[in-house]
Amino acid sequence: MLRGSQWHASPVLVRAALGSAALSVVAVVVGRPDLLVLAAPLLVHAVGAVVGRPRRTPAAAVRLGTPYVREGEGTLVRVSLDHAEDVEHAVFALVGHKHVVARPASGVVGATDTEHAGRIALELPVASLRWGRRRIGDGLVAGTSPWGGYAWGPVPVFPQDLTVLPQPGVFDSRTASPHPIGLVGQHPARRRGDGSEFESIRPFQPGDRLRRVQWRVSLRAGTLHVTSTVAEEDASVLLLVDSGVEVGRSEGLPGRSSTLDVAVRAAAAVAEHYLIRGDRVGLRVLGSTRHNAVHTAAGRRHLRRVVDTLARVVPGENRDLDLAHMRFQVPAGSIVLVFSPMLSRVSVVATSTLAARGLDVVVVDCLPADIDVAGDDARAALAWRMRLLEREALLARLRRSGIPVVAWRGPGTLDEVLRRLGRRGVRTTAGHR
Amino acid sequence: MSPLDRVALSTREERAMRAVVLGSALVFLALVPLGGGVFHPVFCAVAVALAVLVALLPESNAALGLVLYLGVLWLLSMPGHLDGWTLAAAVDLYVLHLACTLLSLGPPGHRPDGALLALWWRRSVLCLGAAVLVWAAARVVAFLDLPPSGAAVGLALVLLLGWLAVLTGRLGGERGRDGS
Repeated sequence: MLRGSQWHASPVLVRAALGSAALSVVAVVVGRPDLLVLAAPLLVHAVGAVVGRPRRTPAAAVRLGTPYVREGEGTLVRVSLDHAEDVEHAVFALVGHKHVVARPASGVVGATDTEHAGRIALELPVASLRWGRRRIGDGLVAGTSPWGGYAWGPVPVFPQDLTVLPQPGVFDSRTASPHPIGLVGQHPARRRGDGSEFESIRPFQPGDRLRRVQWRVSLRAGTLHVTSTVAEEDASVLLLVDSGVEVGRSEGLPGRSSTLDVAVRAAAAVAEHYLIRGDRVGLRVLGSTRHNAVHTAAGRRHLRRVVDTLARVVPGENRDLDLAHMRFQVPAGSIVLVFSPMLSRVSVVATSTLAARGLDVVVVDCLPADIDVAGDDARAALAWRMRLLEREALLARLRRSGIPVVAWRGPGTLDEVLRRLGRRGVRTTAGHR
Repeated sequence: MSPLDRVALSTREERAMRAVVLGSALVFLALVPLGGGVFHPVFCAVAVALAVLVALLPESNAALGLVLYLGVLWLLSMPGHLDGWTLAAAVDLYVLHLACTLLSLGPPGHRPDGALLALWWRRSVLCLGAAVLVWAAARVVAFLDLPPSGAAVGLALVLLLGWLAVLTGRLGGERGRDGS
């Protein structure tokens, strides 16, 4: 029950005062000094409480230690009580939210101010176990005066915004991008240039650097030969995250993952991998109405932009997506990685559309192996099995049309498929020649 | 939130204090026959029921009812000797009151910190010291076997009424400000 932001006499004072008064009066009237002995401690308590009667009303404010955290990382909910000279003990009780844990688990924290400094700070460590935008820090604050005689509150405090960035899954790829198209980078390109990857030994041409001269071959051939290398360029990667459908129950970081959990964490991992290597990464979210696109760019600041957009993904926000009006704005030569469980028509159509434009499209299947959708419901289990069969047929059709489908398994997920795409690109180029 | 939910959400320390509430009431009931008083099974059963209620709702005014009930029970059952049992009863009643006080400082799940417990330890020494002082003074007066004095009783009543007037002003004023 909320009692408002004014001080009021607490049941403790009422008990001490009325209990001691009643016992004392009876003791005097009836002539029973033993009742006076019983009343004495309560009387001292009542006198202490009344003497310490509060004058000033405190003001509570809440703020978070940091507005951005990663999944599983903690921050502090800081509640400060100003004008709290008369507050001896303050308590803050956090309102519980899904995927948010506090220490202590009850979300209740108290602080005692014995020096009456006028300011009491309550700190409660909290952590979010799932990515996303959350509003946390709401709860009730209450205070008591010296001797517990008067109570203030409980007063509600309002929540603050916390952006929980997805914890990127573990990812590494040793395979170069099949179509690097930029200026500088780490992927061996198809054209010759200044790089470290050996290409051939050829006769010297004007403009070749002297340090490139291959002296052994030159002596044998009698003419100057140089070692040529391929240029190294950066790649462009477009991440397409399907947020239209979320299947499975998300239990946060240590528990089971939903399809969207896998998609978001995998996309974050891939973005981090490529951006740290100096490549360019863009993002489109299928199914989000706002913050659904990040342009293709490079750099660590861009990584923050991508991860922040992933944290804002809301599942099933926009199911009636009109693909005809959606602009993917994919730079030429980009690889498109579609993170989806392939359970919605929109994601299938988007994948097919992009592949039809001649882009290298790879579907990263985000359906976890241990997903439990039906539970103990036999009919739901049967329906889910039918849905999985439909999905299998769909994935087979995508594979037949030349779109590789790989299940997300962390490091090395994309190695084989990128190698195959690279070989296909070389064959196509050779054929054109 | 129901009282049982509140118990379920309580910390180990809070459950221990709830047990202290119940235990101190039972100890008080045991002190009555031990101190030479009359044991009333029905009154004791009512007291136990009230103690269970207070253990479930220590922040409510039920605790005031229990304190007053135990005081009346003491008045009716005990002959009024100023022996050690009286002092033990005073300590026990204060322990009950203190446990209810600490339980009402926060919601279920609240863990009293060390500074708070130290503070209440010092206050408890003061409160129980007052009880010992009153007990010793009463024993001295009883030992001197002074003749009954109407003036002394009158003075005590005036003092008590003055204190009640102060309390009425404080508590009544607070309630008026709350609008309740």
